[in-house]
Amino acid sequence: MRGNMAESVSPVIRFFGTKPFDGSKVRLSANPDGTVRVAAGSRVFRRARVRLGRPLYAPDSFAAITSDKGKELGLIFDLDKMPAESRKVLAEAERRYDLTCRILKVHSLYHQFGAAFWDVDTDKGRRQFVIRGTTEHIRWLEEDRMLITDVNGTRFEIKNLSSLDKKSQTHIHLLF
Amino acid sequence: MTQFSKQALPPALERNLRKLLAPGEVTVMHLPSDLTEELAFSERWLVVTNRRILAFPAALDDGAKPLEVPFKGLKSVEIVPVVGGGVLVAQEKTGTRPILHFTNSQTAIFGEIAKGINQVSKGKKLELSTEIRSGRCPKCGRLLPDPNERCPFCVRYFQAMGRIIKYFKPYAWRTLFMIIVISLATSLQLIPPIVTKHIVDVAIPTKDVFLLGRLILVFLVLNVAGAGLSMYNGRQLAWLGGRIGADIRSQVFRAVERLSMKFFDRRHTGQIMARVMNDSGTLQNFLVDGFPFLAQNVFIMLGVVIILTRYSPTLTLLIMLPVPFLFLGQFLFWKFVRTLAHKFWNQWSLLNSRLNESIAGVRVVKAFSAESREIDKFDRYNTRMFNSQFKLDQFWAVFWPGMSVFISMGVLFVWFFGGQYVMKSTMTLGTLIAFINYLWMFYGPLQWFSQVNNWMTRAFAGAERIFETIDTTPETYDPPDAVPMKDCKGAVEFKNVTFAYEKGKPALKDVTFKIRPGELIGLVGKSGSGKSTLLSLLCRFYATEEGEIRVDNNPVERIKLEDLRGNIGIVLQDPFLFSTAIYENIAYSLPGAGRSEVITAARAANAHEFIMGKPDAYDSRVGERGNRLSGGEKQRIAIARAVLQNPRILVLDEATSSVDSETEAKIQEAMNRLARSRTTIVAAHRLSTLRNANRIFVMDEGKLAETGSHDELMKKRGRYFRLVKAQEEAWKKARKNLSVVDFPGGGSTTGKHDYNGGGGDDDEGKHGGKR
Repeated sequence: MRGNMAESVSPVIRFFGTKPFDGSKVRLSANPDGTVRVAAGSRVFRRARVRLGRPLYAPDSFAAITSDKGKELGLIFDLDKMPAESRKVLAEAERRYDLTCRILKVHSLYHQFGAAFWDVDTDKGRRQFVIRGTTEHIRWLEEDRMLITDVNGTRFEIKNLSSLDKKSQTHIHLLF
Repeated sequence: MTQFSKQALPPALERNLRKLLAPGEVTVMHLPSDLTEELAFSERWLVVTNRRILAFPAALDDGAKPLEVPFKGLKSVEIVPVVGGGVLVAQEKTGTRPILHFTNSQTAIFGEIAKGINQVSKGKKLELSTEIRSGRCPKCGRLLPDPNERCPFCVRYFQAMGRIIKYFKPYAWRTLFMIIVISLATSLQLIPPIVTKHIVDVAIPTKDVFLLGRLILVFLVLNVAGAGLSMYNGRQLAWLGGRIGADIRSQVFRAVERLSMKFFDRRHTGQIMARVMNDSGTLQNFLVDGFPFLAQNVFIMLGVVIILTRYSPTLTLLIMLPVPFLFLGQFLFWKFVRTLAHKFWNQWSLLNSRLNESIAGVRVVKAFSAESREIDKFDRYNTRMFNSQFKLDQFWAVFWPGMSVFISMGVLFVWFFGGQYVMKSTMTLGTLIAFINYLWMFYGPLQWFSQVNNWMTRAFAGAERIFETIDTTPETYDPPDAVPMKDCKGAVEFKNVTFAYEKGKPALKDVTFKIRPGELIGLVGKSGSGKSTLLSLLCRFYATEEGEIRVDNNPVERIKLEDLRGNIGIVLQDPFLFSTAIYENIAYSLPGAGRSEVITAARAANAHEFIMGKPDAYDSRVGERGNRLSGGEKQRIAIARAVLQNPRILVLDEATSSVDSETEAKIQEAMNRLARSRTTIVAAHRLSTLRNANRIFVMDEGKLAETGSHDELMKKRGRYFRLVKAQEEAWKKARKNLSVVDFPGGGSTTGKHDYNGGGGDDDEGKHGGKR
């Protein structure tokens, strides 16, 4: 995090008047229906949703609080100042919203008929999936980090290619 | 009857479930999701009874309590999409409740389940689609590279071959003659080594110059005849292959044109084009090059083996020994090369798209002085492509010399053993030389044979895709009891219409209204509220799932499709024009329209004036998709095209949303003129364009939320009132902002502000997509 938006106001923010919630005063608690209760200073939203603004590149950058119907209620920039309990609620809400799983091992990966067939171990368990074409289905987030979307739209991530075992790396390096 | 129950409940689960069910309670549907409550890949079962919904883990222990949603108090069940999957959510009177999560591979099936629950919980008859594909091949169980396509591993060669052969039927005599010529040409290729043998064994030792001359003449005749037959064959094959390719393309295109919109929605344009062009092209190539190659070489190899066995069975066997190893080596080689080639194409396509983006966006690059950044990015991609290309080429460089060495080894082998036979006089020198010649004829095609399987699979998989398209049920143009609609009045009725593009995500929910002939109806609502869907259903681009649509009191599916669409003129937000002259684009809706009709339609659409201002007037080409014209010009041509057929119902879907105010006024004027004599439905974002409407329909989340005239709805102070006020506010705000010349914060408008402490996002360069 690079400081509090409310404190160092840039011209564009002054012009458009974005007023973020103060992270240290935001309290999140989970509702049984999957929504969250947000208390931000004197304001309370009983059924709201929270979403990270940059979940892939900078998950601690900012989060948006929206109503249950998706209308934005406000932004939180200083997520690191939120109480630990609230951060946990935010992380859990994100986990339930984004089903992307992390690949831990590649058992097999081969290319045939214009498609790549994967058999992997993930943090959610073992899974086989298939992708067609790479520009559409593979997104290199960083030099060593891949986001793979299979033909159904299920997402898999390799956080750090170098941290996988040698065999898994060989499978991937042969194809990509 | 239990639906979606192909996967039976585990016995232990069924036992425990039975204990949970109350007397008279029966299971209606059951299905496992692929995510547990903790979102791990495993099963969580959903069981729907005639009274409630139950969800529980695969191991339901005795006494464990499943999640329970009773029908009493349940308003509806819907699918809430999340990243990579969805959640089945119960909307209860007391609030919402998530039932279970699943990945995207199950979205369609859970969409159908949601529909089923909504039917059962409301006491309706359970009617579910059985067309849902699971993503795995039902035959071999492998994952499908495309859930909408057939499994490439299960290509049915004989069935496909049978259908391909049918395409030869109109050219049967020509085909038969060609087969005879091919056989003859191939037989001729087997003779030269025998002639060589006679030269070496007979003509030279006997010093018979006359025989030598005659044998050389045989050589010459064989060469000339072989070349002549090859030329003839090549020409015939090119004609036949091309003709059959054209026949297949034509048949596929005819089939594609008549398919329903749902087929097009499920596939990208490129995918459909690939079927018409690539698949038929691959099949044509196989027929012209692959099949003759295969037939000719199998024939030659058999001939060689038969001839060689006659000369020396032992030496023939020795020649055959390395063949399995050659096949194995090639199989492994091609597998590896395919992988390397795939990597190379990946890198090539990434570099290509990088280049495309940089050049297409050159203005932006220059505007932000980002040339160096772009060059760095390009260099990174370029290096990666170089590395992959080098690896691939390196492999090729090793393969071909390796192959030559392998075959040369075979030749040396024959020289070694054959030489000894000659020394022992059990074989003549001529026979040995013939052996060597035949060896090349035998091993040559073997280098490519392992590729033939891949080649055939691709061609036949393409053929299967083609046949699948041809076999897909087309739109119903004229059901047996179809009624003509020559004299349409323009009355429209929607009765409890519900429709979803994707299972479980209805775009229209229970919509009911009546439109009288000649009425002007305004259709408003946010993006995604269902306006365009409603108009598409009226044109019968899709069939309703529930409810009924009537035009002049006839259900739309009972009206002859040509008559229905002939009476509805439609203009879309981004109208599509064909890359031909303006005149032809307008006349597209009424083939054979007279000059004065086209001009009248153009005048009615306020288009005549600008058309005549163009250098080639009505003959001006509009460019690809009409991109040589402005948005407003395209719209007016589309309106002219729609009104030329004088439809009784005119549908304008956001026709003025992307044009300037002056053009909008012109389109508006044209619309008002046209609306006088016909039923007109206008979907618009700019509410000011709908003040003259007899009634306004306000759509909200797929439902018809309000209806009434502008004044009535304003008095009602409901959704329409809020939309009008919000738009007025937005206009006021925009006007006010436009009057602010100086950018606050002391900055100029050159975009060179000092963005110190930009609030957490000045780390953009650090995280922003290195690849």
